Amino acid sequence: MAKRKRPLSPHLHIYKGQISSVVSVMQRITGGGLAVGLGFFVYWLGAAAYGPDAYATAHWFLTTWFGYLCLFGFTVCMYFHLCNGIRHLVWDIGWGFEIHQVNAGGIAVLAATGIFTVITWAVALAKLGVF
Amino acid sequence: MTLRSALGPEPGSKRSSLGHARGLGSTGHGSAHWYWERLTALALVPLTVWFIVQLLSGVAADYDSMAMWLTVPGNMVLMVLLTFFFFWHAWIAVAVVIEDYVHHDATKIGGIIALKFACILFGAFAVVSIILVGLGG
Repeated sequence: MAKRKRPLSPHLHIYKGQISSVVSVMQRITGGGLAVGLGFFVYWLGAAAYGPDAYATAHWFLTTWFGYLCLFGFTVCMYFHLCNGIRHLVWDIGWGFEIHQVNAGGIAVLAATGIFTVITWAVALAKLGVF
Repeated sequence: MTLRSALGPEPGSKRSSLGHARGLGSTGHGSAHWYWERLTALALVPLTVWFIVQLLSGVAADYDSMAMWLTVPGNMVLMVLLTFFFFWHAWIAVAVVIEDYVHHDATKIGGIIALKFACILFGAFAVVSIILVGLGG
């Protein structure tokens, strides 16, 4: 018997982006980013264990523009994943399942990520004397 | 449970559907990964906040500051715990991502095994590094 073409369920592109789904997908993406960040974390600690010269090299690399770009990305990923992770833990104890709470929580996570990232880098750059 | 039994009754089997299904269900450990992902997340909330505050106070600015910082037992312990929970959380969560997006069985199983060995290798390396620096190595 010839194989009949069966109808497929609607694929991703048909759905309009919603705050709930976008934040959910971003939790995975930022988690992936942080897994990459773990590599930097281990390199930094390993460099310290290998001594002052290795540490100076790691410090040089992490303060190049590429290093800063990565660290900035990890900061965004960290705050997003942390804040949204707390949102998940709140859901796990049974709170915040109404649609308006889910939407407000998503926006709060995005706002908190922005605010914490700006504060963190303002402090970091102020200490380095950039401004 | 064997793979054959998961596919359904043997062709021509005299067992009823219920008889086949019995004993193939939950082992009672189905929520273990879910639980440990949450528990490690809970531990990582204060640890990561502490870590960011430490970095912003300049402990990583140069080798001497970092070595001095890790000499303090409390800092060393918290760094070891941070590393431990980072890798434990990644061990569970990255495996879920692989399970969801990799559909080729050999690649999926190989990927998960590689992930678990990588977590052990890099986690052990990071913990040993922290302790060596803290003890003045």
